Amino acid sequence: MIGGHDGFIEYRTHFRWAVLLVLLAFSVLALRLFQVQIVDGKKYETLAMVSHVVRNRIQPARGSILDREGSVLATDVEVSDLALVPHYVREPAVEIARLKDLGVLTGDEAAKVLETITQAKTDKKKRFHRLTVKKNLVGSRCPDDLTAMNFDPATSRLVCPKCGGTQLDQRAVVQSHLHELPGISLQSRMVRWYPARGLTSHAVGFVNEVSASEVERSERRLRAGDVVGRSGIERALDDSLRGVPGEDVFVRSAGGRRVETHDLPDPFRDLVSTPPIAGKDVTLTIDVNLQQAAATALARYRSGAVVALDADTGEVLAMVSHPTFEAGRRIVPGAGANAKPVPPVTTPPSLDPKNYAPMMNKAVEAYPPGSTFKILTTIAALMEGLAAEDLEMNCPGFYMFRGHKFRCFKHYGHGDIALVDAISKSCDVYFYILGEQLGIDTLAHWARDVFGVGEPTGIEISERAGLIPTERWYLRRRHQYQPGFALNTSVGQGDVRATPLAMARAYAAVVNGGRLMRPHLVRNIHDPVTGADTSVAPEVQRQIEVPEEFLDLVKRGMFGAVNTEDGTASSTALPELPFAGKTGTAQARERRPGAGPEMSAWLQQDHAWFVGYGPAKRPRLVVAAFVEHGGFGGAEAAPVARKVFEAYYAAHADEFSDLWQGFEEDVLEVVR
Amino acid sequence: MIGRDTHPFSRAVWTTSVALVVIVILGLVNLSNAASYTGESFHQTQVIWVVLGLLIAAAVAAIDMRFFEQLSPVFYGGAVLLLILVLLFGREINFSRRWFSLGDISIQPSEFAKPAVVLMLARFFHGERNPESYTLRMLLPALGYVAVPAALIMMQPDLGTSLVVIAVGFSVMFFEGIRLRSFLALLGIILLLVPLAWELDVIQPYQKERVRTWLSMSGAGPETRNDADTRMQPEQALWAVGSGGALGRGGQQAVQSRLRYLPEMHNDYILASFAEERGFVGCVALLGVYLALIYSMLVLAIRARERFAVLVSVGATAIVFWQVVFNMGMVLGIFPVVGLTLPFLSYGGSSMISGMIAVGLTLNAGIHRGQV
Repeated sequence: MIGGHDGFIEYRTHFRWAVLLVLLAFSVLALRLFQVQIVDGKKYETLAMVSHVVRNRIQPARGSILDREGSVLATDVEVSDLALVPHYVREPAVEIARLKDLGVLTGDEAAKVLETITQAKTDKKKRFHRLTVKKNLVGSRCPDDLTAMNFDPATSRLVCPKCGGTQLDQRAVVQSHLHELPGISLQSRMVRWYPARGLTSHAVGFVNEVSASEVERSERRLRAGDVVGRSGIERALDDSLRGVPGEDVFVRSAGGRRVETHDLPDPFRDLVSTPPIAGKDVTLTIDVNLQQAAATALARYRSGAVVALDADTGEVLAMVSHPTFEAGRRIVPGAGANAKPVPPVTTPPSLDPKNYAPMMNKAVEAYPPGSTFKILTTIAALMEGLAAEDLEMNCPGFYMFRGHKFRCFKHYGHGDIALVDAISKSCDVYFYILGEQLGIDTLAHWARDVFGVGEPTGIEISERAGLIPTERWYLRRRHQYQPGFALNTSVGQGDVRATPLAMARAYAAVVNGGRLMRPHLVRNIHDPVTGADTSVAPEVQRQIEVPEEFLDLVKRGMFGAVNTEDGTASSTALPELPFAGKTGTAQARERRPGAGPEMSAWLQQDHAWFVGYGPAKRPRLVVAAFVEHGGFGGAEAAPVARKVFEAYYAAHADEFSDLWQGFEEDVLEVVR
Repeated sequence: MIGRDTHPFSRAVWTTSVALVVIVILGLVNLSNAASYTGESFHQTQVIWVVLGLLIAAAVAAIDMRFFEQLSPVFYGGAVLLLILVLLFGREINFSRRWFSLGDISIQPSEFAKPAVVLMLARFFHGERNPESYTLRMLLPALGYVAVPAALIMMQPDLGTSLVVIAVGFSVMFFEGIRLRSFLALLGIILLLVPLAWELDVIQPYQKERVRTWLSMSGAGPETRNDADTRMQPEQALWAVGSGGALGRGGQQAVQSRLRYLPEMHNDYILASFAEERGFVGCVALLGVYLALIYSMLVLAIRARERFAVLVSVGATAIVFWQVVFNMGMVLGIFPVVGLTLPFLSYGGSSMISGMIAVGLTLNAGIHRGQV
């Protein structure tokens, strides 16, 4: 019933049109609402979530690496960087002057910073960028090596127990004055600290930041800024040490304010933060005192390595490669004004350690082992029935084989010589003959397949396999084989390559009753979250079945080498508590492009080796000492080993108290 | 028949009043929820505007329609004068002069221009006695009545309100019955004017940017350079509406509002906040209430006895209708962003009172049956 007035009858049609228009418009709105809320609702909700939810990764603390007694070899330390945002620094001149007065910035630094701020303040964008003004405020640690410093109340300064330097705690100073330094802040971050400095660098290894391509390849496991182990244990046990990153999940409001997810309705509420899981602490088998003794003993040479194994368990008690490097150097702060850098190892000043491959771990690098290999030749010959205690040979100083003259190192010869003496005096002719009779493949079988020289030992860190050549190897690689190669191989020359570690392990098998152990650097892995400890048990890789009498013959030979007058290492004997071993002097003439005359002369020298065990009567420690191009093994490598034995005996004097007496009887018995 | 005719309160009057009260209450509840997100208290101020508005609506409904007819040139002239004054002396907020400051409160003259234009047009057509022959030339004064305030408002600049004024003007003309030919001619002129306005920078750069953003968001245009900034508001609004889903997150649970990703959420974007809390069901219910209000206002218009009252009521209805359509369309991404309030839901005194005047005028027509 519309209107009562005839004059406006035309409005009826327009009324219908108007109602139609209204219905149409509202239908469009309702349809659009349906589309946005019902059809695409989830999509928009997700978009909102994704754009508002912030997921910050929380770095876990990387596990520490400790020596067998608990000395810290590697750990994470928090340092702070002094940073500022130019725009928010209200009065640059005043604030920077304050930092100078507080002793945080030097005059030069202050001037530079002030200039930077003034410049940045004029730039529309740059003035909001955070600038790092001074890196590595290390708090109460010595800026030189991060040793924890002691507070001296008298001077209210910190005193370093190591270098004696005094220092302000710059971080604390800045922290307590932040309220009068608007725009200035402290940004903390973790750095890897190696308190033992260069001492254990090769075994422990080092870390650095991942590259962009590694981040890409890691499938989101790694992110830019993460550090990963690059060598040694840091690399081998990276997964254990690194821990699991946590995630701080929150919602960012339009003003940038942080809103906790549990304050919000679903589905935001379901987002939970996860704490990081700290990395595991790794305790090594290394004994830093023994390590230090070995490093000190090697220090007078240009290049070399020492491996010390527990003869029974295969634990690596020392692994030194010389010269060394200091991993922390690139991340640890530069030396402070009062720091007196004391390198743990001193090299002859005329020689730059950089020229002698400091990063290379020579303990697991392969070199010709020279006469130290003869022990394996001897056992092979004994086992093959080609040798016996009373087998005598005549050494005129050379051995003629198929028209080739194979020289003994003693040019006028050893004369008639039996097995034990041949080892003690390292008669090459004796072993040439054994080698000729054994043949190269039998020799290779005993050395590699039985004693594990020329194959990886299975230690945690990466290592060279080394090489024991065979006839097949020569045919494939050199396209020719001559029987004379067996003679070279029998004395550890020619193409034989062995790592000090592999040699030490083979000798350990000789003195521990034939157990070829897997050498290991990791003693224990401690999980700080669960408190669980995972100990690494000794692992026997192979039981070598060699009669005790054969092993005794070899041991007597090695005893004689050190402890008799004619032995090749007689000058290094320790009469109070004898050790035994075999010297090696390996020809290894090299040429390196670009080497100066002095370096070239060095490269012409022989490698000096000594692999031995002690105490002779009850072997506990096996030491392989290697001096690259060091010269005569008995004169250069054996003294290094002796230092290690001395240090070991000193630390374990109680255990060997019964052995101190009667050593003369031993000597007499062997010399007979 | 006669008994029903003389009854002052027909069903349509009741429907209009109830729908208005329901919307106003919904608005207050919604505003108090919106206030809870930001910790402000504009809903309390809004109560004052609601009460004042209802009183004004009642007053407008009660006053004799002849009063409005006779004084419509005065209202219109006053509104135009205020629009000129605001351009000269208005307070500049966000690069536009739309408000007069009177102490703590601001007055937006363009809001009052809308009912003034409606009154002026109704008076003009009421005076015409030849409805069958509206030629373009005859319509020129009417077009002028619309164009002057629309242009002044555009200069503030306030594109949204200006468009509403134009739409309302056309609605009145359409209802009065301009010929299809004239209508098409006018439409053609406007279609020609739009690119001209675009080129001559009558349309402000920021408004152009909004159009480009809208085009790129709906996939019709290329991504603009400063998308991130201009996109933020409409995009966040759309996310909020979508987040509401079917049933909504519930009162005071709107995350988008809570995180303050909705600027102007108590104002132009109040629907986004409402939609996130109440969902599709709530939004459709809200549309239903608006539909009831607008339909019953139209019924009141058509029932009026007098041409002036019919046209005033139609114009008043058009004010509410176009504001709802433009505002919701903007929030839902159907239109580019134009600054417009949602009648009775958005916070603001001028908008509330202007809307109440519009409803009051229709109620007046319904109650007095247009006796002049």
